[in-house]
Amino acid sequence: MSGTPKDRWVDVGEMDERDVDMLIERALVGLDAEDERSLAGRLDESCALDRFDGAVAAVAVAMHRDAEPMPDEMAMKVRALGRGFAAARSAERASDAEPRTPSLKLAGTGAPVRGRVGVVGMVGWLAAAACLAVALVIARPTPEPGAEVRLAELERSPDVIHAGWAGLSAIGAANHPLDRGVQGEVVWSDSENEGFMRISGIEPNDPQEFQYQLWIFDSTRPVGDLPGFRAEGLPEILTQRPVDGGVFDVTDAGGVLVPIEAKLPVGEGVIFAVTKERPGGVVVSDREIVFLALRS
Amino acid sequence: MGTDLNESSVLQRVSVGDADAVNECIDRYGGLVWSLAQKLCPDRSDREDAVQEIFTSVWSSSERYNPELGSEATFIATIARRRLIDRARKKKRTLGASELDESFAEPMRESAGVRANEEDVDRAERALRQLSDVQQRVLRLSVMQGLSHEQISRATDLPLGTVKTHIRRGLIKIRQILDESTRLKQDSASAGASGSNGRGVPA
Repeated sequence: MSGTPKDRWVDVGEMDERDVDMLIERALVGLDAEDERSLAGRLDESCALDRFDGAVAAVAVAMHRDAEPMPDEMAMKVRALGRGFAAARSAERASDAEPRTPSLKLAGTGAPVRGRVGVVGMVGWLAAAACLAVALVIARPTPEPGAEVRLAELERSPDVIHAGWAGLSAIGAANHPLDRGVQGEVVWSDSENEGFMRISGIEPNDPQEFQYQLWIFDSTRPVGDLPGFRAEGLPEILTQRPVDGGVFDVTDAGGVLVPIEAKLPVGEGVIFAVTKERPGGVVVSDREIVFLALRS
Repeated sequence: MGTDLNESSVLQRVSVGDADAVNECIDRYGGLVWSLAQKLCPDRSDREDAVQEIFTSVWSSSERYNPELGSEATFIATIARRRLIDRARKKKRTLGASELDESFAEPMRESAGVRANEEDVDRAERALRQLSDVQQRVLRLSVMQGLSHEQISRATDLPLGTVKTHIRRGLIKIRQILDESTRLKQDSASAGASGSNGRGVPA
């Protein structure tokens, strides 16, 4: 948005009564998607959309001024998350300070990607997205025997989706050397915040050398945190910090079934990307996507 | 109790990856976020996820914080409430605690735990105290407990229309007071320097 809020200031008295009611409802209990879109379409440029949120928040702070501290155990978890964020943000800024070359290469392939700087660049979200992974990334063992049973249950979830894996050629880049013709799919349920990956056709890994890591782009999470990865023709969502789906190993080229362990709630997973990372996960990714899946 | 715009706020330092500032942010606002989550997210395990999601979102949005337009506490509470509301709607459950907090019946009182640079919160608090006891009670049930208009009507024995009117009038009054304050700040800032861009609360 350009200009100052003052330029577009709209007093409550100048607003439609129904819009005022909806703004208050939005600030207090939220609106459904249709009402939200409708209201945003009418009010976004008037900069009126957020100010009841601010008023309600100020009231909430006043009402919570004598709040007890966060429990120690919870604070420790948040601090661990914070350490990862700080490290990743520092690294991101250091990376931003380096001059960017107009022709980027896909890490590990050496292959230039014509007209797809943004796609290659999208791998870079990992530099900062790792903040969500630090202290949370845990190498998972082979799926428990009950995984197939749980997968079958998940398949009955009303919002389950299936997204097929694709090599990087699907986005105009050269396939990764670890990709031997990746096949399989992501089975994912937003309501359950749970899913599984069936994968075959990729190079098995030695967990002492490297591990694979899943990242989930969520259409309901904020975008624009990493504007450096915005590019014409590519979805805005690639500028968000994705949710860490955990690291995993592929020990059998014949195929594996891996549970997805999203470290944060996912509202609507729309892009699933697997990267090659050093053992145990990363604070700063080496920016190497191996394959991905897009929700249709 | 004005905000010193020349002094970097905690969130401004968080935005550049200052690890000390991240810890300071948790120390300073952890209680606020936890308390909001306690009220609006009754399930304990879900609440812990929510608190982590809120802090991640706060840090990620920290570069958007503009001290001219509001306090850090209000910025953080805005994000926290939005996340908690979104989570409740996704889970298709009613926002708010399963049991009423008895404190809802108390009128607004002077708080002991006032932090510096929360001029907007002070103004909101003063505006709240100007409301009648019943208006304060209704707003408290709505904002603090997350109850719907219908639930408040049942809890207070007030007609639904009266509940809506109390909430509407109370929030409009508070918003107008905060708007006026923001406008004065911006006028003051633009007199000496270029104006801000962006909103007072995160998108």
